[in-house]
Amino acid sequence: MSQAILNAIKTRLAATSSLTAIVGTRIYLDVGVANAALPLLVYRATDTRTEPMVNAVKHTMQLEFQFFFANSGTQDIHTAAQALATAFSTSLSVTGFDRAVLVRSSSGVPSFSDDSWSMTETYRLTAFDI
Amino acid sequence: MPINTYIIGNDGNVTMPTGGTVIQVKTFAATLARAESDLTGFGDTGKRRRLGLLDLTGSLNGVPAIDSTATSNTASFFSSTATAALTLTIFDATGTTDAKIAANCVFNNFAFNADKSGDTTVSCNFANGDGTAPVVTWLV
Repeated sequence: MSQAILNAIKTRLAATSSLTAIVGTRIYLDVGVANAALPLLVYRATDTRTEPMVNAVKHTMQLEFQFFFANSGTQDIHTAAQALATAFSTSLSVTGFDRAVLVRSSSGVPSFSDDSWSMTETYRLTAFDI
Repeated sequence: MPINTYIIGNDGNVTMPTGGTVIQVKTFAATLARAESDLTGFGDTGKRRRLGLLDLTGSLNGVPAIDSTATSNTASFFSSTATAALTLTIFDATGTTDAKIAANCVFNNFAFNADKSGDTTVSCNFANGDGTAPVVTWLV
């Protein structure tokens, strides 16, 4: 179920030029690749819920999108948040679902640790299977 | 016969009338009732009551939907005054072990709710509407 949604999210992220202009192809599910260049984006589902209906199932998913930037980066980390918002400004096509809509539920605050800046944006996804 | 089948909510189903598929139902509540008259008179040593016509009233709750293949204005379900067939199934087996209520109903009081963060709901009330008693099948 959620695999199709997660795949669709990755497809959309990879197709958003304003985002790939920042992180390139370094978009990862759950964990980043060791020693990967910065900046990069790691996204993960932190909570998924299903509500059965008579002839459909409603799916809601909480998603975290975490950006990592090098300390010496020339791109401000907060610009990535806008690129993410652009990526999800329209609904996603997902196999087996009507569509999926993501709404930002919290904005990230840049923080510095382990020699890199990071910032996490949180989105809520809603989708109905068909 | 002892009880051998317990009804679980997921066993249920709702068959909406034509045009009524603009609601994806999640829950329903239904009440079968008859008006009760107190006919107790002098000489009675206990209460005497009689029941009137069988009525069905209730509510549906779910999510509003759109049938993109529809060729007519499906929103008319929300404003129609006609009675339409509604079947509330509580248990539906392939044989005769069914538990369901069917009636031609009027639908009223559509309440819509939309939340920008993602949730949308619609609810409505229904009531028996065509002068014919609801058909209750209960063979579990």
